[in-house]
Amino acid sequence: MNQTAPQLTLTPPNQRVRLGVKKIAQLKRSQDLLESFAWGTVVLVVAMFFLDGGMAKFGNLTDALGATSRLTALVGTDLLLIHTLLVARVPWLDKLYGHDKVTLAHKKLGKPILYIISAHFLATLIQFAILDGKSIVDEMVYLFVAIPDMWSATLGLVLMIVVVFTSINAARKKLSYESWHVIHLLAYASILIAVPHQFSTGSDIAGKPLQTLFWVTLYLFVALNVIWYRVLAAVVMNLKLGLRVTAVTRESSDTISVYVSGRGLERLGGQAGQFYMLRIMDKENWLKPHPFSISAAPNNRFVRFTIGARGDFTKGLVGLKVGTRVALEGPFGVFTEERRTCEKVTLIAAGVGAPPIRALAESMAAKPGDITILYRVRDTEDAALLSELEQVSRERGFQLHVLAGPRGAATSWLPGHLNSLPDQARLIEMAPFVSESDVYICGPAAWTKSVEKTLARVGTPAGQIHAEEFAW
Amino acid sequence: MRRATKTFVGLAGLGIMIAAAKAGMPLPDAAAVVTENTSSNTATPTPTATATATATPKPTTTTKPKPKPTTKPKPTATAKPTPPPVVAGAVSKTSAAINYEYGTIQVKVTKDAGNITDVTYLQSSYTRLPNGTLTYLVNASIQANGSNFTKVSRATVTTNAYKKALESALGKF
Repeated sequence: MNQTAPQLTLTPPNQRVRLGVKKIAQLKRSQDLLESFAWGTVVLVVAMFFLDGGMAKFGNLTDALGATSRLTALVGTDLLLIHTLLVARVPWLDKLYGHDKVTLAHKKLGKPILYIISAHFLATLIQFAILDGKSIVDEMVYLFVAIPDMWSATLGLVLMIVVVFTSINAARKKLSYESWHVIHLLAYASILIAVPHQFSTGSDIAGKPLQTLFWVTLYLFVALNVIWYRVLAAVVMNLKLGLRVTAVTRESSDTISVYVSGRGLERLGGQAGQFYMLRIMDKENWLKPHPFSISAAPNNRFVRFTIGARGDFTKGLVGLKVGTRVALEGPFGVFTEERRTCEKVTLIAAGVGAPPIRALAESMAAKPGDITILYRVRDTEDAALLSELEQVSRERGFQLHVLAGPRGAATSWLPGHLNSLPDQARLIEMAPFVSESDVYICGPAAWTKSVEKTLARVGTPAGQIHAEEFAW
Repeated sequence: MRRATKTFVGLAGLGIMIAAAKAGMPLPDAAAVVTENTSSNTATPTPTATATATATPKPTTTTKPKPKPTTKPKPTATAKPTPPPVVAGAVSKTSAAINYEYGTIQVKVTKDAGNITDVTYLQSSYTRLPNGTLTYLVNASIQANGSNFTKVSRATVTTNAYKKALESALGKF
């Protein structure tokens, strides 16, 4: 703990950022294109089913069940592959949407996919039971014995149910992240063991070259993305970098900074405002990655994470020894200057939200006076990174407002003792250009919502408000 | 997605699916057309029969396979008497035994003057099949006079194995 931090020298600001709304229009176009492509695959599988005479097969009950079974299988599998891609942490998705939005989309898709696949299972089972004149249970036993890939497909569904149930909010709260994560990894197994029956017995794939080509391509594309970006890329990068802890310093009573360094840090390629998954490579911790934002602009000397010691893991970091091996995955997130459109910027941080704001302040190019920083803390004496924010503001000519004090009214994001004026009035007082600036907000979720409300009142367009939810 | 894109993609997707559904429908339509043709054939049996008869000496060789299995009373009544005279025509060949994922299929195919007249199963072990699959396969191959017919849904693998067996027998003629 008593190691001294490297001398703080500010990294020169990033001069190459393009401003203006043109890049946002480009971004929206790419997003639309990608989403259209994704939905296009769903349309395509349904169209292929119809082209195969699918509509004609709704004649009687058993035929209708058969057609339902095929249709739900096709759509369900297609969505499942998209669902898997969304969690592969692929950089091209991260760049377009940000890690939080991608993860949220993944979360949203989970339950509908389970319903669709369950419908496929039930429709198939009931259809077969009617055709064979057996009870559902007898038919199920019969299918397990008679058709080789059926039991593995069913086991796949059971695993899927377990994965979705443990991810429901109520269950998620009771599980530790680690045990939830291990269960969640079963999802990959569930997909793998359910694959064979699609190719061996699926009426829409087996023996049809075009459909087989389509599905094999889709499977390979998703599999390669998962294997490369989720696993191999990070392994290769970390082997090259050989990262180790170089210093651990105390920033406040409950915050520490961890300095990490290795060979050729510029290869990491991160930006201010982004975060990495940090793994401490020792026996207990190497399987437990935690997301942390970098708290200093990227440079070739060190990567610095400033961490609030609140949870079990982060409290343990206080005793971290210099020389400990660490591994990083990332960088992730779009809480960066890539999304900046205006000359003027307002940076708003609260408590543990300070690190990315501190990094952004250091790396943003701006004329003196163009950047305003608001830092909400409980106590000025015990605020992490405050002295650094002061130094940045002093050297670059930014305005820094430190908002110290206990909470005010429930809806207010400002300290209570200034309660004579509504939040928006006080915001305009501190940051007069807030409605024509890009606003970056980082803090607890409820607090961020409240800041966003105030920003809507003062007239900052939604496209200029940047906040990242900590969903992972 | 922006609203305009969403609307466009939604409508285009819907359009494609409807078009595909429409394009997929001709399957039953085609079947209907086929039966119509055969029924029209059976409705006016004499002119076609004489036309083919003059074209080639044997009436059975040129009659297309489709009219034959249609079990309408009139044409079968006229067609039935014809095969017996051609005594030398009926020949049977046995296929190889095809082992496949769910069992074994071996068939004996009887051909009369170029047309399949009968297929019997010498071996037909299987784990599970929709009712009537085996009968359907025989009828379909007689009707198509070969292995070019649509598969049985839920019995893709068996259909393929049957076709293999059939082709192996046909290859021996």
